[in-house]
Amino acid sequence: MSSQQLGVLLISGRLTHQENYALNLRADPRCQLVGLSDEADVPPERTQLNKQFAEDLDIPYLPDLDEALARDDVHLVSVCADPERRGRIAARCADAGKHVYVDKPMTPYLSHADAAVAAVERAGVRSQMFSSNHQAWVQLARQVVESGTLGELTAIHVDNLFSKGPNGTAKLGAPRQAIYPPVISNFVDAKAELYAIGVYALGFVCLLSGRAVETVFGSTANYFFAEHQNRNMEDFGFLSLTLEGGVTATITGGRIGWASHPAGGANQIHLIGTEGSMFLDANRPRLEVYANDQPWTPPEINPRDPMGFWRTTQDEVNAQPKRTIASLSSTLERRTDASYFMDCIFEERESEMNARQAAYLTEILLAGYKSAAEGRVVDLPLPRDDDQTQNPAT
Amino acid sequence: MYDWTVLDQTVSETLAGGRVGAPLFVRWTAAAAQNNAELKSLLAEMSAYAETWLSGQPRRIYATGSADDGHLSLALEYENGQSALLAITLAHDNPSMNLAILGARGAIFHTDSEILARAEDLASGSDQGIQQSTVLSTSKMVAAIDKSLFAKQPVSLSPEGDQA
Repeated sequence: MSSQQLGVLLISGRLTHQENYALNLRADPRCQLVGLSDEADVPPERTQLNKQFAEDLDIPYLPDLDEALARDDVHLVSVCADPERRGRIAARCADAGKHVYVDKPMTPYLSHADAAVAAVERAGVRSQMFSSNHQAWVQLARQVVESGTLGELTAIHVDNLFSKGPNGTAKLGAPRQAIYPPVISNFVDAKAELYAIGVYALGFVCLLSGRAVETVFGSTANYFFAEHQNRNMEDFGFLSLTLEGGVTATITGGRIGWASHPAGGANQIHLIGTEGSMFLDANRPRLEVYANDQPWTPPEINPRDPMGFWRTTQDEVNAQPKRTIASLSSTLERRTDASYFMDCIFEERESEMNARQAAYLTEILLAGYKSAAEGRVVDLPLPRDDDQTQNPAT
Repeated sequence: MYDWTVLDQTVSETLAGGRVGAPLFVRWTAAAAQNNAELKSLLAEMSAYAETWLSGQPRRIYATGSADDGHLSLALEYENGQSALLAITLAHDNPSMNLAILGARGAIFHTDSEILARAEDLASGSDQGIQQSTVLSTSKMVAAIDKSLFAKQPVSLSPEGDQA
């Protein structure tokens, strides 16, 4: 490892977003993967998946996390542990003096979020939660807002809807009975999708508005998948927010089914200003390609990953990319979120999606779940004593 | 006011064809109002169309924004579990709209400004009957929007559309 490189420790492996993050980190010449570790008490299945991914990458599996974090050649930790463990591990890494790159959302627990922020700021390390904030079309939206072309920003409407999963199986006909605290876990066949996907849209709202969220109204639904319904987890949700200064925002987040969009999903931003409005779409501008080859069909369902969460399991069933739409973007615009974080570390500046911002997004999401369960608008900040009931076991 | 008759007819026919399955969620954002006074009535009109497409009665609504500031949003939850997010803002001489309807097995998307014909600009063939009934059916929604904006809370509606 050269003096210009950071040693990277991976936490958790296969069947997590580490499948993507590790490759992006490895592709950055400023990084060198040092090893893969995890907490000691994870289930045997998780250990096996971790060892498999270490083998995939040809890096050492380091069974003792404390020893791994004590290594001098580890400077940065990529944390993709399960949602319930993610925040506490992020704090542990920061306490060890390591920069922290963490999967999204950082944690479903306010206490863990606060602890991670405190640890990062106490240690003086850099932190970043994965987001889509640095994608070119989002940065274009930011430039539009900052240019003043639309006048003063008054409203933002954002949709992040992933077209994955075999939809059409949910039992319909009645409103979902939301619960608080919500069920936030990564099951083999379901995730809380407002939490897992809506966090992207919330990140856009905060980035583009630069304003604090004051109130949250939320609604969750089971529209598409029996699997989510059986786990008492929503597959779709929306939030209606009021921000300081009279700005409003709405977001949707959900998984809508393989065939419900010609590309990866509906990812769009509608900016409303006092002088005009603008609609931006992750899939525009674009080429549309039609040919007499076989039409795209959803992949065969992999019982280890029926919703198409992970890359390796989709490779196992030979999932093919959709090819009708080719978004116009240059190679430079395709820089990864990981590379942005490397810039922050080497240029000694804070990431705009640091642990504090990640914790804030957790708080907004939890307020949305609370609103959905209680049927009322919820004010921010949330009282910290809520955490006692939210997080009894950890 | 705008005439969304063609949009309504096309959407309704597509939904009736069953390709996307049961319609579950409507996301409709329009930059269409010519002035601030039009905002609430246009938003209520959009809610009437959403109600038609979803074949459901809203049980609860929550409105945000300010007609004075030129933008309003409306969240609606329906008796059978469907929902909608509608938003209206000033056209600023450049009307546009973005519509998504999510169904159980598929989705409908529309992003365009071509169908935003103002009612007074249309030939006599426009469906005045539909426009008139829409205006009548949306008056209660305007009242509910006002109540939610004032209370800054969701407002429950009775099955008849009155505020409960």
